[in-house]
Amino acid sequence: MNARSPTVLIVDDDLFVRRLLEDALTESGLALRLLQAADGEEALTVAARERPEVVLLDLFMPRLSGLEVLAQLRTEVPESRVVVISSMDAEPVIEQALQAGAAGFIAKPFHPLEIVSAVREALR
Amino acid sequence: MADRPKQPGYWIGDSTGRVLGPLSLQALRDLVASGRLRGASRASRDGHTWLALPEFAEVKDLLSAPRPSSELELAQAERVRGQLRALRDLGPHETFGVRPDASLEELRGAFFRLAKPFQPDRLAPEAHAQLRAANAEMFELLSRRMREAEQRAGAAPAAARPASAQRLTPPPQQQRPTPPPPQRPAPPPAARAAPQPPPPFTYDASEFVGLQRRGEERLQADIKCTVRSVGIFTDHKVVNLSSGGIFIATPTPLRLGTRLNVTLHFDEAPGKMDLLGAVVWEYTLDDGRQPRGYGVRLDVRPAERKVLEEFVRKYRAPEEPKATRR
Repeated sequence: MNARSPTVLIVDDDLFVRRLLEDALTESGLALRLLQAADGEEALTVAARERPEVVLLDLFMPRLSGLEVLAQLRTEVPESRVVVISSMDAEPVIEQALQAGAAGFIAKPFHPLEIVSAVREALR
Repeated sequence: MADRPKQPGYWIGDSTGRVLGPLSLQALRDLVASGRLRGASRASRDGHTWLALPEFAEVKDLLSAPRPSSELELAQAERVRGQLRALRDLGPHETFGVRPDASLEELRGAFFRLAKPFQPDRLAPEAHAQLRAANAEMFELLSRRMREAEQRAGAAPAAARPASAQRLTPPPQQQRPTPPPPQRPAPPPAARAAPQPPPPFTYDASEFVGLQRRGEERLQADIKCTVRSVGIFTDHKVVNLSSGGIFIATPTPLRLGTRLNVTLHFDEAPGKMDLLGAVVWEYTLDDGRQPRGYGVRLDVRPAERKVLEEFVRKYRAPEEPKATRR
């Protein structure tokens, strides 16, 4: 039986950012299965179904805030490691995300190698 | 959809419906003070009732506060220059404050932590030129140290060029329509040159991506793909699926170079497809020779192209048989 490649779910309402993250991980050489969601509700649906090992999560999104998604993911898909990727990187926001269970916080704009490193770390 | 009950705390939002919360008051104030609230225009104390940000009592003082004085920014610039002088003769490990046997991964982590505060996007557009220059110098020094570290380690990881550099063809200069050139067939795959390996990362500011800057907003274009509209992929001699684009007949004025989020809607699988696009050609004459509209170059991945080619194959009207001579 083939082992399934680890799954990374990319959650951002900006298609351009989702492409950037997808490109960074595709070019990394890591064997990953990449999924995308354009908002928090889609993210929760996909995560419940696919049980991703890692979620890359934006914070400022339509209808459902990234912080709300993070809280629900910690409850509904506790095995997923969530890395927040956001331009809203004020210190209290970072602390709040980490206390809510995020495995990491990467400020936008990001370098592709930051993303690869964070996913590698999250998969350990 | 029905409103979910919101956790207590503060919320920020923008005009497109994006929200962030629940936040502590300190978090809200820090975000406002930092200038990182791109596009956020309103705030709420419960996630349901919203006020325009300038009217929100908890942050009014921050919004009306004068921007930092020149003297303050010049002092900041001098502090950065002092740090630069201290770092000038240090090697990568000392610069980044890591052990001599630290791995490349640890060095990179330290680089990202130290360099990000000096990124150009961190400063307000009106920031003093001296502060901008000092920050840029610091960022460049840190980038240089990171490149040195990679060279010493003998590892230069193959780069995915930043997607912003891979984006769509710049728009042509002409504003008036000209007859499209004859379409040349693509060379067979064997005849194409082998792809060059991507260059190594330089760690300069242009490699940091993902922040939408002012003026980079994209318009949304929703296009219904049916048997009647399949021509958007095939009818135009230049901008068509083979060349990676579509022609949209529309009287809506669009400027060349306009960036688009294009959503293609299908009645069957895949249902919808989200793509990035840019306007690369326009025909705005109402001369009856062809419809007014725009050529949009699309950023199509191979799997997406396959789906679109299948759609065109399925729905394109068969060509009229040519008359034969007797």
